[in-house]
Amino acid sequence: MKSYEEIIAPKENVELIFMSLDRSEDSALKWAVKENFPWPLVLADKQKRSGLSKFASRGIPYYVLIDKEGKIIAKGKYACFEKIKEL
Amino acid sequence: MKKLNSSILALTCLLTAIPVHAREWTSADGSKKFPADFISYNNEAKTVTVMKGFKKVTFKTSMLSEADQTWLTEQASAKETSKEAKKSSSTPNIIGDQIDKGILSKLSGKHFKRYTLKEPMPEYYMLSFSASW
Repeated sequence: MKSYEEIIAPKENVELIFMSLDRSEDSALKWAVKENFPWPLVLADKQKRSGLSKFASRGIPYYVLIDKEGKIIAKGKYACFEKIKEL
Repeated sequence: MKKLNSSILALTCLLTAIPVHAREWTSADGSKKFPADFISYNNEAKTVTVMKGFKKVTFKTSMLSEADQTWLTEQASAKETSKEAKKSSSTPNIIGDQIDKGILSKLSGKHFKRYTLKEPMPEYYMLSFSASW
């Protein structure tokens, strides 16, 4: 959360999209309320339609940075944030 | 009389036309200066093309002063930045268009509400795959 607020939130050209893997919307909502998620998210039932599920990996949490054309720029939390700092 | 007026007008326009990159150039050793209009710079070959009077001349940038060489690299850099900016803004935002169709939600109080990306759409998206379990 701190990294998001310090690194991503101030940048207008970068958006964090949370890909919720909770099958139940209730579970996803409870967690979002508890942590006060400030970012937009894609619920599990819409992920296929979003076209973004292809970027998922086996393990979670998983972070990947892509450009607007869908090209992968960085993988992994540290690499993503370091790259975003440069943008 | 009409012919004379139009000739005078054409000559006036020619004389008062402001060249885009009129510049006084200095030789590397500082001993010579000459006015010429900048046409282009080849960063790979390190050559510059100028219009000296009515003659187009190309020569190595090493023949120019350090200040002139710096100016040339700044021109090249400014051109690249402008090219990148144009490229960036003109390419479609495929991801943005894909997900901005009622797919995104955002927490609003204690509920999820439909969310639309702000304009202009972001250039980059950090996807965070996770779950509450």
